[in-house]
Amino acid sequence: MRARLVLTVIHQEVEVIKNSNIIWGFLFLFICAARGDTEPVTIRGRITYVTVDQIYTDLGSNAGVEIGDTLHVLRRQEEIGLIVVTNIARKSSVCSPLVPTDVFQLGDLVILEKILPSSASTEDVPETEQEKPATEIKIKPPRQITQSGNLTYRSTLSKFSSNRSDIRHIGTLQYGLTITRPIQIRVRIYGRTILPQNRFTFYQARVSVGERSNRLYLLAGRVFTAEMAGLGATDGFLLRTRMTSNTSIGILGGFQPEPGSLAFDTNIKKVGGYLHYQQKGKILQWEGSIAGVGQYAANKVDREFIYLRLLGRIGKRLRLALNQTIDLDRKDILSSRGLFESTSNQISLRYNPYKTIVLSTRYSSRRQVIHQVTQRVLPDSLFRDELRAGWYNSILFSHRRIGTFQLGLNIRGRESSLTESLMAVFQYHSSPTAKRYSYTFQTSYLDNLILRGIRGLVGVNRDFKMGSVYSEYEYYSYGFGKQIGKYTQHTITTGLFWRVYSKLQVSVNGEYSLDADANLFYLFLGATYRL
Amino acid sequence: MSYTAIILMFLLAQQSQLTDLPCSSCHTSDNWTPLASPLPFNHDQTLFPLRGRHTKAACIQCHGGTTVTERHRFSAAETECNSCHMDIHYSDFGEDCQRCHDTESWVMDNWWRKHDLTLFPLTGAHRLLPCGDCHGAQFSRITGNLTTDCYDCHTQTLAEVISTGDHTENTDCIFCHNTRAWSPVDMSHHDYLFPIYSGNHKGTWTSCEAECHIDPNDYSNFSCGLNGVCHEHNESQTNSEHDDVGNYVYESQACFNCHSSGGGGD
Repeated sequence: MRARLVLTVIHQEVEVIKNSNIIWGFLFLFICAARGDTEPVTIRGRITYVTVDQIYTDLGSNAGVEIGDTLHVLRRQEEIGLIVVTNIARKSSVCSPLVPTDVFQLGDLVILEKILPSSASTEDVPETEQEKPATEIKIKPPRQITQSGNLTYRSTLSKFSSNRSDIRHIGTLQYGLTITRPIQIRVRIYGRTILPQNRFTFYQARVSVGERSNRLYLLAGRVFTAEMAGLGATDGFLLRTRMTSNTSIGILGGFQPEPGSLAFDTNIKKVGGYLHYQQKGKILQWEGSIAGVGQYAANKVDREFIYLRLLGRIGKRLRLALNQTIDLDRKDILSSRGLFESTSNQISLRYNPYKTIVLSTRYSSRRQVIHQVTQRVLPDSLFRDELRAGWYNSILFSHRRIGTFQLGLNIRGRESSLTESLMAVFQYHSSPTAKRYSYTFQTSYLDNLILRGIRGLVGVNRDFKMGSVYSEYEYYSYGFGKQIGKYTQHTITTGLFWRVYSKLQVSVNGEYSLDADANLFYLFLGATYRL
Repeated sequence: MSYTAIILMFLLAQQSQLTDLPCSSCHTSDNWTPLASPLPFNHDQTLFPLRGRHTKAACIQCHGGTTVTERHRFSAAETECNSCHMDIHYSDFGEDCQRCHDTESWVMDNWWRKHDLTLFPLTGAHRLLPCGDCHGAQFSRITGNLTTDCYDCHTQTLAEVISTGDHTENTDCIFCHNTRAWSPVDMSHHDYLFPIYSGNHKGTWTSCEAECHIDPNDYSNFSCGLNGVCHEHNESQTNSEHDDVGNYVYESQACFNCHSSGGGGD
């Protein structure tokens, strides 16, 4: 059925061929077919009748509509609801609303957006339907400009037993502007100000042209791509092009950003390219990429590496992720390493043997990376958080009524350390009761070279219509070396999260922490306004 | 771990079947819509239990698609945060947003708790520091080249004490200090080198210099009781006990080489 819409378009082009050069006509047909798998088409019609539970439209199979399609209903350019096609005729369809029918009126605009397959051929469509002209087909998204983002204000007060105190007022702005016509352009900015300095600083800004699913997709500004994760953010551009429905390539170029502002260092240049492949079947879905990345300073190699990434999912039971970074040390500055050195590896597996149980395991290993010119030292090119390296295992049990239990264990060894780090965490979150209460219990054990400690936390949360309140108590008993229980730390926390209305959220949090010879009071006030 | 083995396992496991949810998990027998309320389907049994604000989200926000078929391919929905949310940090802080944020709000109101779940919980003096003292201005070192090594932050302190000439150049601060204060010295980590707070030597010593570290200017010069303070280590008795040990010498370093855990039978 999907092919019919394409073919009605092709049929219109056939009429053109009759009056012009045959070769150009075939070429035109080829281009039309090629466009078919990339450009979403928009089919427009009207509501013709409304009953208590059904909506009738003038879009039928001739227009390419199928049973199961979801139509957007608009009035004065604003979407008012969705309807699903349940019965269909050539020139009309009967739909089931996904919102109460009283919002719909006769004459409301209905729109169906579809991405059409490229493998269509004229043999698929009966002759009678080929002769019928298509209903109005336009590539015209309903909205032209949309805005999104939020304004956040937060104020913190920290008061220490030593009579030191720290007060901060921070405002942040996250803003997005999307233009959908004639091509999709998105602008994103993020900035913050620390009051009362009243100096607003932009942290991030970028513009994107097109979408990732398009043949061409361009990002400019402070860009980042997961296919070249080890490179971090870059001030420059990323151009991605889709070669086939499964394969795409991307190139990146730019400079090293300065943290905390939009400035960048032109002495440190970054370039890279990647190949990405994905396959999404019903059972097996996977995607992988290989990237070659270089960073150069003072016209010399600062660092070059290859980054491999593979993500896969089998059914809904098994999920696998592999990441590997291989550094190229051309000048043998890192004397103990070879030309190709695997500097970071991660493999993670999640298995869902039963509906209620999720088993996870993740192994991460890495070596320190030293940039050859700038001498910057990164503990890791991929796993920037040293605290999470090691072998992590987790088992999660979740039941609708009982709640969720999770047991996790992380073991990490370091060549330079006398002992392995071990961290075990057990936590329980109850399901909300009829009175909307839910409870939390956490306990963890940590043993590493710095300290050995046991932590426990109990908490209660009460949801209400517009938010929630919570209260928690945490106990931490720790010691140094192989001791435990030499020191204790008690913390009481209580907080409120309140959605004043759909766009405004307020949160308040107070915390008091008492140690053997110090105490700390911390107050947090925050408000977020969604644009 | 061999990637080949993993990939083979991956391919073999393709025999797994995708089991679609029964319609009754969400729909009623009366009509397809509206969906049943409360929803019989338990999202907690998936790889992505719904918590916080996610419980308020419409199904279609995550289970998207241009057709009903696509939207009902539930397992195709991504579970990574950045598949739905824009990462304003550009992954500079990693891809695991839950280290700092939770599903209730992006605003961090109890960040202390998150730190307690790392391998570097904030205890003692670290609890009282402004974040920027370690993480740099505007949090430019949230992770990056920040490690759990003491001298990574205390470089200046170490340089200053070394310059006085009264301190070794040893960067393993934790063996003499703890996170609460530089002084008094805390030798709790001594057990990692030689057990004195546990085992045979627990409670048998009075001070560092009295029994073992006979040269207060050089703690690497130690005595295993061979200075006559520890009566059980007199030479004749010790020689007698080791007459069947090859290469035995009555010398402290040799004792330590064989008895590094402080036990007689090592």
